Amino acid sequence: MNALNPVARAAVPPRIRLPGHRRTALAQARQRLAIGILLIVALIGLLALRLVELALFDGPPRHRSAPAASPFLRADIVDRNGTTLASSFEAFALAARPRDIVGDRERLLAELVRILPERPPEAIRAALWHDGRFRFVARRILPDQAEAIRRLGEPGLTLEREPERLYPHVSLAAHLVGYTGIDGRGEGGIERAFEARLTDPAKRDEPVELSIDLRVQQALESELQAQMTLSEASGAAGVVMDATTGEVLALASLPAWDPNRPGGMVGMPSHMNRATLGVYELGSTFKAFTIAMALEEGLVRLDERFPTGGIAIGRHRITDVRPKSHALSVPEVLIHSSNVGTARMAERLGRQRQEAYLRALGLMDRAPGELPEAGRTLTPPPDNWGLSSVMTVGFGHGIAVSPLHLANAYATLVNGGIHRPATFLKVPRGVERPGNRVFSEETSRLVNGMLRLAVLDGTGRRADAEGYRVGGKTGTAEKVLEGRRGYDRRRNITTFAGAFPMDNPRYVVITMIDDPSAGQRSAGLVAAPVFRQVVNRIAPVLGVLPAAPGASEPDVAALDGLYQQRAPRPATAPAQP
Amino acid sequence: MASLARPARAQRTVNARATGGRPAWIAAGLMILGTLAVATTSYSLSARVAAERRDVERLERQNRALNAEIRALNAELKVRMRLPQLQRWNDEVLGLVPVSARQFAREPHQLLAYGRSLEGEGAPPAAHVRPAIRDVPVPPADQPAPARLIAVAAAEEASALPPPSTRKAAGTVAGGREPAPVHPAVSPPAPVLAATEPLRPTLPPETADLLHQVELAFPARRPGP
Repeated sequence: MNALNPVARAAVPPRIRLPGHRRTALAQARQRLAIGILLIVALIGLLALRLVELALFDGPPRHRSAPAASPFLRADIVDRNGTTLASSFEAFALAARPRDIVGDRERLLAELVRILPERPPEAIRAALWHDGRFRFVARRILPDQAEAIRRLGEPGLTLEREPERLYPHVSLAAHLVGYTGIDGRGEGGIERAFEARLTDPAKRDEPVELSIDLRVQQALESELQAQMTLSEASGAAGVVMDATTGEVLALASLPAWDPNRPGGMVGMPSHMNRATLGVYELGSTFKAFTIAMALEEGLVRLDERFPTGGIAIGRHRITDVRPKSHALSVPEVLIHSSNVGTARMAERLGRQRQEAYLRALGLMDRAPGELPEAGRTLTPPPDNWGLSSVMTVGFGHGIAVSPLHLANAYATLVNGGIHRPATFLKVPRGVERPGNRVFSEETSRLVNGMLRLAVLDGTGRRADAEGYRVGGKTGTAEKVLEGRRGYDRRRNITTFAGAFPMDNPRYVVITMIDDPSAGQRSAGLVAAPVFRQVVNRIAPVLGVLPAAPGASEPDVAALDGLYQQRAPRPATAPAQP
Repeated sequence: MASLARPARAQRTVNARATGGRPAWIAAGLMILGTLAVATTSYSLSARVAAERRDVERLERQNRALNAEIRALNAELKVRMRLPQLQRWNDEVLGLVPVSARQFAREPHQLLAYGRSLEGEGAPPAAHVRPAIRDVPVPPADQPAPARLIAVAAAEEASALPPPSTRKAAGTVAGGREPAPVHPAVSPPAPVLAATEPLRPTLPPETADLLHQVELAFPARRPGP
């Protein structure tokens, strides 16, 4: 038997032998411990993986420290060549927070008056001393003014940045482009018509392309302004249109204003768009339409003669301004601008057909185009459109239209007879806009020849731009008296409506001078020279060459013998058959 | 029992043999070192990434500021070259008129009519040649007036065949000075090849140099539509 050392026996713990249930309890405890450890390890492992992932890849997107106050809060407006008409940029505005002002207010006032000379000192004083928390002192200050104010180091004067709209060309095309109000919304013109498109976030980087050509616009506006000043007229309007596509290349209305500082101009005379909103009786320019209508309907023959004696209708008497001694043929009616001849043609036309043609030419609706300022024409009332109205409408009195209406109708007349409504948006090259046929090609060609003769031999002689084969018609109409029936003999509206080059008309130009009071007062002496100057300036720009091979005078062979040639013909190549 | 009693030293040796001959504290030390190494590496990595991100954000801020500055400068440029201003300059200073229909050449041979004949300077100018400056009479050919400074940049737009010698009174090229009244222009207008033409001897030397410089800087070019 081993004689166990009692110490050794005490040092070695005896092997534990547990009864069955305690063994399972221990196993269970060990299992739970293992599970717990595994869970904790898994948690730590997860955290470690997340840390690795964050270290290698980007975390959640961070908030941008300086929110990009994008100046492109409004899309640009450009002309057809990409020249900017309106653009947005960030401007500085000076704001005063009176509660934060720490410096001496009087000194601040003196400094600000020195830095901002255009701001009235009372406004600055009111902003610095007012009771509220925030007030603008001046908006749209120049960058160097802003820098000077920042150097003052006054915490109560903060420089806010706001998106501003800049119209670099100031008053050019002001009525067309419009302006934006103080809250940045468009008011008037294209700015208002395309408000949704201009503020669309997806398209802020794409400018709105207008059909306007700014060089043509400048030429038109400056010539109209020169004549307006010379004649001391109260207003002027002009339109240049592409005859084949209906695009408006220039829309002028004078007097104009600066859309950068519109101020409180709404309601002032300069604010009205005389080219689209103002309607005027445009006088003899209408005769071309009546002749075209009569020729189209086959109601007159070219060699038919119209006596020039007066017509008595109702209480009125229709006479010519300068009656000729002989009966006039159809071309001569247009060349000499005979009211009587045109009235006779209109009489044959009748009300139904005249109204239908006017409607087809767009002269019974609102002004075409995308502008919100579209004027309605004034036509004889449906219940009072009798024979006298038909006759007077025939030579352009009794119907009041805007210059844009007239341009659109002339474009229809000269481009072969297809009516396309005017548009202010650029038409992509090669795209053919749909149109309605109003006159036949033959009628259009004949009237083109007559319009050329009206410039060569008729009242529009001063509109003849050398080499560019201009055709058109003058129109002098007395202004309607305010509120009373009848006309004001002392005040005229002088218009010239024409197109060039007449052998293949590409552009229609309308010039209108409202109430020329100094010097001459007839369209042939007031509006026609403007037309000639404008054509001389814009023809090279628009690529109309004066002596290109094949370009020549329009074919007036059909009108031979029907008119008296008064002016010597310019030396150009004869018409190619 | 003797098998149950193991001296402590023997036990440690057994343990040491189990771990491959190294003491236990070395293993712990290795673990700690390993953890420290991994931690420092990870931390330096993340610090570098954060630094790169800060750089990127700074560059983006600079980009935005520069873009805003470009836009402001563009706006200023567009305002300074606005069309009504150009019109005013033309009306008051330059006095250029649009090209007339007669100035378009039908064929290249017509250009020869603008040149001076080689025989002498007394050849009269072609009758249909009109300088691009309005109100300027074409002086008779026997009295060539001394040449003046060229208003070249505007002359390029003025006529279809730009004679570089659309000259007018001095003092208006740089702008900002009082415009002098227009003096009669040189006759005849020099042809397109005038860049190689020798200057007239009547010019004062400093004007001749300036003319030469201007002609070099603004060579005549054909017009576009």
